[in-house]
Amino acid sequence: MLEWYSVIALVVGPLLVLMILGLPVAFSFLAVNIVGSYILLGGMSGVRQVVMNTIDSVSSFTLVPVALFMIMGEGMFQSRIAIDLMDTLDKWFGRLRGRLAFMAVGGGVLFSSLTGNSMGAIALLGSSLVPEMEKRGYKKPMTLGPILGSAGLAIMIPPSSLAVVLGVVAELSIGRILIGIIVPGLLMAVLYTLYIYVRVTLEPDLAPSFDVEPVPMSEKLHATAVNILPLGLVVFSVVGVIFLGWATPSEAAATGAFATLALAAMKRRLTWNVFSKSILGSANISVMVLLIVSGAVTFTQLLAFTGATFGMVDAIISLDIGPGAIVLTMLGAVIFLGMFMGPLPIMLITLPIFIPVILEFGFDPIWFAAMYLVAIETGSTSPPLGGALFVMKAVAPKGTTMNEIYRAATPFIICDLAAILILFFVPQLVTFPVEYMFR
Amino acid sequence: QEYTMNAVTLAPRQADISRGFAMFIDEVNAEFEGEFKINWRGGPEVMPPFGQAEAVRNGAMDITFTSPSYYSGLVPASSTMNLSFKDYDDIRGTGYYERMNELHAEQDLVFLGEVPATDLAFHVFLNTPIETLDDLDGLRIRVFPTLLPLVKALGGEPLVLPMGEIYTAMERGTIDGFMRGTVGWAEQFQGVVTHVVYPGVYRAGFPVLVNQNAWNELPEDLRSRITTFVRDDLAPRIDEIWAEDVAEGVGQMEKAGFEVIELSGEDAARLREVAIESAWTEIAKTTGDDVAAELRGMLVD
Amino acid sequence: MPSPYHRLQRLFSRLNLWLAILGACILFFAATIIFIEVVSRAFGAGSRLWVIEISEYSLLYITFLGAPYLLEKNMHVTLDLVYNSLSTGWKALAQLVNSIVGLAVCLVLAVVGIDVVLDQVETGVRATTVMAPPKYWITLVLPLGMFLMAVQFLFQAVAALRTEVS
Ligand code: NA
Ligand code: NA
Repeated sequence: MLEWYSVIALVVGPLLVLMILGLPVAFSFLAVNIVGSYILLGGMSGVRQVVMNTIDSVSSFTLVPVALFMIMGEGMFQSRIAIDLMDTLDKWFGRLRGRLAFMAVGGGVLFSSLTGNSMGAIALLGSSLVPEMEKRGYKKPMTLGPILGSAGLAIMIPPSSLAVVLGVVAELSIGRILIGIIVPGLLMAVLYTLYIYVRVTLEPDLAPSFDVEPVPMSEKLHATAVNILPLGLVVFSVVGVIFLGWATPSEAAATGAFATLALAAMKRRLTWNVFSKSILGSANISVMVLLIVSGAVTFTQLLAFTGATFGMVDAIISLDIGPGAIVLTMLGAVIFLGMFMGPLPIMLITLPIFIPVILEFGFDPIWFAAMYLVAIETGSTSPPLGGALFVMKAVAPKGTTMNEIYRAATPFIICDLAAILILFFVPQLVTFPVEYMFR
Repeated sequence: QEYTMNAVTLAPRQADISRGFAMFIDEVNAEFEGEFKINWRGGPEVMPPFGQAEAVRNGAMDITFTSPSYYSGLVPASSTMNLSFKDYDDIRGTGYYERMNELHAEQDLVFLGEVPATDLAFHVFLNTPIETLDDLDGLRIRVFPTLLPLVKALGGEPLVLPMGEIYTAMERGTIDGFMRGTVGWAEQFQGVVTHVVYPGVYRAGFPVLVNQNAWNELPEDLRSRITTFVRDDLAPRIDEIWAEDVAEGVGQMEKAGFEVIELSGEDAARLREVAIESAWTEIAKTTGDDVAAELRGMLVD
Repeated sequence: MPSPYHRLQRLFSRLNLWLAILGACILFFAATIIFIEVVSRAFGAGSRLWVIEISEYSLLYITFLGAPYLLEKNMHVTLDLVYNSLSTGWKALAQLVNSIVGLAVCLVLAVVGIDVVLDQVETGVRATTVMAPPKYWITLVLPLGMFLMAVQFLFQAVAALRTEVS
């Protein structure tokens, strides 16, 4: 019998080798899935299973918003709605260094309150903001980074599909979790903002500020009325329809897409060229993302089949290091698994074992759930294979390398780790709002 | 020689219903120690639940403990296992399980037996009060395919939604309710579910499917001893473990503030009748009238 | 006069493009039916039970119809960490290895995919959903996409081999 770490190395190693050689990520997953299933799942029957699991994993409604938010993002980019937004912000905050990076975080927070899906958030913000930010002289750490960081907030601020799944798998109150994660989500946004402020102050050329001519107030107000207020229609079409009970969070992505096209039409910019480019562009990026997802899901199932992940989880809870340290090790394990596995299987594997231990230690499970969700979020933006990184690679302008994405993501991962530590030492950030709401 | 088989389950290891699978696997492994062993590889994290029966048919997996409604596309008669108000012992005597053997064999699957959970009936959960069965008219109820004919027949508006969206949909009123068992989840839905309708309908039971080639590798004597043990000794005992889960579920629902709506005797009888009638009419469309009539005669008095 | 090889390449290139456009149309169609579902439900009209299911199948079709085009245009996500810093000769070698591995992967999945489709035709298995369509309709698109991608990887292997030789 191999130890769990040998098994993980044996399965993940070849995958990394193929990817590093330059084989597209999706095909690297598929190659390992074929060989792994052949060995573990009874020869050719195993390969047939790869075909069926691949199909099963792509035809999932939870992935629909990713494709639909792409239409929104491409639509805003192609019809230059995003550019208008930035021009207007320039008029107001032209001298503020890094304003677009702050806007990306602000947009991330706003968008998080609209959607529960990080991949969708990256797809939208990445495709609408990044190209224009680069045109205005922003460097990668200040374009890709803030979006990677803040898009993850989608799962931290309700509605959050992953928080709901967390509640179901861990058998905890979903309502309490949804309240409990809000402050941690905002805490992360604050940490991201602080980091951006410090970084652009130390390295001013990452985010140029122009000496803009003073703009008269009337022009500022006019630009705001024309360029920002109509965006309220788009925001309403996503968040409003959920709030009013007209649509589920996934369906709201479709109303958002149509509202964006409608806004482009109202601005008389929805030419056939803009429309077809938006749809083709969003289809292309959806294909890239979905093909990777199809490979990654089956890969994760294979890894679960080996029992290596269970072995790791068992090894952690039997460590002799005191309750607090075990909690931190658990969260570390979640981040580690997130580097090459999707969130749902990680939850299915770890939570049923972790939660009883947390209860036995006498900790508040909602507090743990909040930190756990931050850890899941961190894992999904962590190199080498965090899922969010691939989505960013798919939407980022041509020529963006994976290395640049890794480097841009790293500081935000450190912010996430800081957030986990803060929550660990100040549990009241989670428990107080929950107690207040559920008195 | 000890024969080992890999198994997956529709639910993760620690889920409440998995208690039945654990008992099945533990007891079989103890009873046939040294001869036969089931190696439980995990649940949906290992293999997608709706693909498990096909995986067993293909030989990628040896055994699955699945839901009758998860593979009705492969064996149309499978979902009949839910469509009854009888318990395991009553059904056992009718020859239903032997007939299921034959129907599964037509699709190259071995039907080893059932992990019964008769006590786990399906209930309607709502975010709005009703008084009579007629009040369900026009309400939007989230269902899975087996329950669709019933909700339609009651005048409800059936909806299909992914599991992960039910909470928000209930909270925001996108749906008015959903149908589900009562065990092990009430606390999670505190605040969005306000009412639960009694009585429940149907029964739960989980088929145990085995790959044909893997099964045929076992000596005939061992196969028959396993089958006998599973069907005549083990399953009846598993059917009795659920009472305490149901009681615990009732306690949880109370704690979560679900208000019980007890239908009048007349309405309850009509609910049962509609449940049977609507579902079996639907079954006949896929299995053919003869098979449906034969199975219905075994499962419904 | 282009060589038969080039004409073949052009033929597949056309096909890839048309399938990608078809995929994009399916994406817009899926967005439209979900939008109509939301609007009509808000106005009190009933729910169409097939909307979610159709949009799920749409995702599958979009993926495998669009993937060959993206492969042809080298747009699939790669982990370009080491690859970008390789010299031209090594790059061509890595390209050759990659295209052969890719070819093998796609060919295996195309062949096994067809086998699964034929089996599903024979057993008549249906999806376990409200619409319950025959499963081979769902599976069919995978071997199609995989076959076209195998062809692309073959072209890539030939191109890499030519660079290697020259
Ligand atoms: Na959110
Ligand atoms: Na983040």
